[in-house]
Amino acid sequence: MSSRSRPKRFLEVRKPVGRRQRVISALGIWVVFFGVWVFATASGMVNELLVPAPQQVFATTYELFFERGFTSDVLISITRVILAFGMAATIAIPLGVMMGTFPSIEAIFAPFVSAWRYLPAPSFIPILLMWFGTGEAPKLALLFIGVIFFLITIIMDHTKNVREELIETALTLGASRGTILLKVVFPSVLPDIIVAMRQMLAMAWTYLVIAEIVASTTGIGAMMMRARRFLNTDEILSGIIVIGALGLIFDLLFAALYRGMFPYLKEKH
Amino acid sequence: MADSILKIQQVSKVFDLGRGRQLQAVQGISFDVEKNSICVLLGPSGCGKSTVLRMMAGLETPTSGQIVIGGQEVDGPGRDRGMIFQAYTSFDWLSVRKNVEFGMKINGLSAADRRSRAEHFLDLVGLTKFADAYPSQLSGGMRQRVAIARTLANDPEVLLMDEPFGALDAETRWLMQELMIDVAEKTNTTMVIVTHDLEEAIFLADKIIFLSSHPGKLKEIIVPEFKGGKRIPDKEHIIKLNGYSDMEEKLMRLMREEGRRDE
Ligand SMILES: Nc1ncnc2c1ncn2[C@@H]1O[C@H](COP(=O)(O)OP(=O)(O)OP(=O)(O)O)[C@@H](O)[C@H]1O
Ligand SMILES: [Mg+2]
Repeated sequence: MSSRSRPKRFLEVRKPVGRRQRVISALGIWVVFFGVWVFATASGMVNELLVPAPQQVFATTYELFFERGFTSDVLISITRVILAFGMAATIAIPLGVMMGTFPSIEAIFAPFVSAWRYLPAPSFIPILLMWFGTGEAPKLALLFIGVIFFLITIIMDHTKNVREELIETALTLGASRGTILLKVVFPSVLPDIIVAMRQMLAMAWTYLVIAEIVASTTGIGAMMMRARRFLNTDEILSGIIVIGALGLIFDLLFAALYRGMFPYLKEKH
Repeated sequence: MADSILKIQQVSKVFDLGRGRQLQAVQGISFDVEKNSICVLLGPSGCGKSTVLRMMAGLETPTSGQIVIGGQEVDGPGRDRGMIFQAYTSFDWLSVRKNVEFGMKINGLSAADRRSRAEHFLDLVGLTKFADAYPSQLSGGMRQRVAIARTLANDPEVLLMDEPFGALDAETRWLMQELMIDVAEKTNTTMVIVTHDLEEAIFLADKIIFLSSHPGKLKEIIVPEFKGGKRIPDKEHIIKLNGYSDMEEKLMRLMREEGRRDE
């Protein structure tokens, strides 16, 4: 019997909670959430047409995937995100690293890039539609615009934070500018680049949904807008859940990538 | 003593602080660093020690005067002057061995040569067992050993060190100081070491360049004669030598004079 220990109170200032308590708490809040939802629909408190029961939403999700070809919509959405995000990263990584390394490059691009960051990407939708019509181009362009300027700026800032001593050490070992850029600055900022990409990917999903809701006949967002016309709220909610799940999966993939690429970093994320 | 390898000739440095303000950090300093010697730059905080060292490395340019290495005027950094900083500079993404090979690799040594030189210098600094570890797994003292091995393996003419052990705890610091004597004896590397630790200066120096502050000027060049022209390999031994405490007292007096002038 550990006699002297005070009984543990529920609210303890900054005392970490145990694993058991964390799992129970986490499950608890979701059980409450679904409980309220089930109760509200079963008791007729809410209109079943506007708020379908959770079990129905899950059944619909299953049906969408396995009977109604929703998979192709999901794949289209994923492809759009990967394409647009990939293009943005292909430009943002080298440019951001160059801007953070060479002040002359920063002097050229920084005034341009930072101005664009103040322009909300969705405000470009009307003009993108006029320029590119309703094909894939305006959706990719929206995602691209929405992501690239932030990505460049974040990568540039991280690159500037590469410690001067590392660069100077390399210089006194006889490194050329190219060596410094490729063998010192880039590897040293790479973990931060991956973290920045992970964060910006979440933003890309946001823009994807906007693009597909506003102007698309394919993809998850388009499916949801179709469902709206037929008052299929269960399908809309399925769409939301699928988007959330995809966001989570991509986030976990990036986390795994991070751990795999940087074994030398102690657990941080 | 032997020939000088580095000549500091009437070197001054004025920093431009912007908006027309300037700061004279170093004024008209001249001294020589003899080949294979350990030269210590000592002086109160802010007297310009780092600035002088950085000018030797070519990381700063003298406003006037010149620095000559092996007959050539210093113009920018180069592999002939390896530098070690107080802050850790290990490349975290490379193993200890790859860190040590870094300089050799960018200078085009063959893989076999790199490997064998890396082994040699890892052994010299006592890191053989940690060759495949990442720097983040090492203690502060061990990381500085990596930096030392990396710089030496690159075969510089001069090893420049700016308070290399300043961030280490006392025990590790004197182990590192003894290591440096060992390294100097075994490799005949010329070293210029900045410190403001009197004991460290006396222990390591074949010659002490004492700088005074605001602006940094040469105050005195002191040769610790009491060592009898030899290097003493361990710290317990050196403090028992006749003349050690006189030397310490003298340096303390110089430091104190500088401190008083600042007030
Ligand atoms: N890049 C710089 N720009 C402006 N002023 C500088 C710069 N580097 C150094 N100084 C100034 O020059 C003077 C000498 O600095 P330095 O770092 O060489 O001194 P130090 O002897 O190494 O000091 P410490 O013992 O604190 O390391 C200080 O007044 C410092 O503020
Ligand atoms: Mg200094």
